[in-house]
Amino acid sequence: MSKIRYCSLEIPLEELNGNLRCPSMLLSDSQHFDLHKINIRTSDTPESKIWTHLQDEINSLPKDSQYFIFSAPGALLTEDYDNTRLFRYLNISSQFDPEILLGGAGWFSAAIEIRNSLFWVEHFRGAHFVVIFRNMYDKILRTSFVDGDTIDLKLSYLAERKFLLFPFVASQSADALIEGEFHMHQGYFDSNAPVKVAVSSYAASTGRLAVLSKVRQFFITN
Amino acid sequence: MEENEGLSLTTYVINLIEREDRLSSILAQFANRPEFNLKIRRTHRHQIGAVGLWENILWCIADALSNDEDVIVICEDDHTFTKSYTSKFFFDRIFEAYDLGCDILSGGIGGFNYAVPVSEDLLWIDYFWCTQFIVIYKPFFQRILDAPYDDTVTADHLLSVISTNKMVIHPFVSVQYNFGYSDVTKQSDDNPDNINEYFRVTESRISVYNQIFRKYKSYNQFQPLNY
Repeated sequence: MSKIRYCSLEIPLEELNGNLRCPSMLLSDSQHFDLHKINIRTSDTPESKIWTHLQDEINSLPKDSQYFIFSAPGALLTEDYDNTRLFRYLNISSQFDPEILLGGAGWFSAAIEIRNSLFWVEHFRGAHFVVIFRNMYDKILRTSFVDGDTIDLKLSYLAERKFLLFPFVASQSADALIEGEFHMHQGYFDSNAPVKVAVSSYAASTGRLAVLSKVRQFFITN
Repeated sequence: MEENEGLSLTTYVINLIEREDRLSSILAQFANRPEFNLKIRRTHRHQIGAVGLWENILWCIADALSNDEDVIVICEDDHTFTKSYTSKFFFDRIFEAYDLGCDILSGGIGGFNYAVPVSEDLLWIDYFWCTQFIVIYKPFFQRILDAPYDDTVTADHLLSVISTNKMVIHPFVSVQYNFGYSDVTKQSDDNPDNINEYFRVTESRISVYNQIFRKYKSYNQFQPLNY
């Protein structure tokens, strides 16, 4: 098996408040990953610049690349991360012709567990561990970034088939909150109240998914 | 009445005595539908509409219990059948939900938070808005009667929190008719057009769940029941 390209946009370690579970610390010596680490300063890096990094990464991929992993700044791997599990779900999700496989999400709209620990998701926020499949490459390269765009929502709306691992294998550091508020279209909520996504939302999303998973399990076994 | 011929489901209709227009409307909905055995609960206005609704639901449940009913429908007078309603589809869903241990089965809702599809036509929901047409099963009767409440009670909220096994039928077999005012909630009264939008948006959201469930069901471990 060839190494998986892992493009990690990382803020300097000293800004992570001593939390060492950032991707490069865990993956740099792995035999399984080809780590491309790009150090940036989150506070002064516009999203459009990160989008350019993402496009550059795609342009630099080998021609036979089937997928690679993209980590937005501030990504942290959780205690549930392990290589075997990641490879297993890469394999399982491949039968669904995926465009994106998420290692975690700060927010999502509808989600349905289609296999144990693998959810289909409608839309998501948080791009801290995103497996981007080959059928997304051209879409990303052809899409320009405009003011107000965010990486995660851009990817969410570009991709038709998105899946999410649960329990999460990635989250985000407290120094790299997704800032700002946004309105989802099509009335995903009963009110039009803005949804503010922050680091705690990874915990909230975990809670939501745990309930959905438990309910599904109940009906499978009863 | 297709395969369910002979079945007659006790159906409580709650209507304020002063609302003759609503009474005419709801009676028209059930005309020529012998599968429903109507019991009209005509009642006086409570100073808090939502409390009045809840207390009338309690009256219906107590009546059902004393008559040893196994399953009932409670219906507000703004319920309207959708084009998706057929006797067979509806009764099949009642049996299917019963087999899944359902407490409350709604024919159509104006909102929810999370959902889990449990079959091609049923979704488990964590919470729901609107009680214009709900099926309630006997094992849940006493829990409703025992639920503490005060002047802030709303039927949909209280039913949502005292049951962990609530389902909704998809496609909806019921929506609320928009009379342009509400006897229950001020919010609906202030924005009467919202109610149509709530149901439209909610059914649209549920359609997404349903489509995905159908698309991936061959990979799913559920074994949908067939009747």
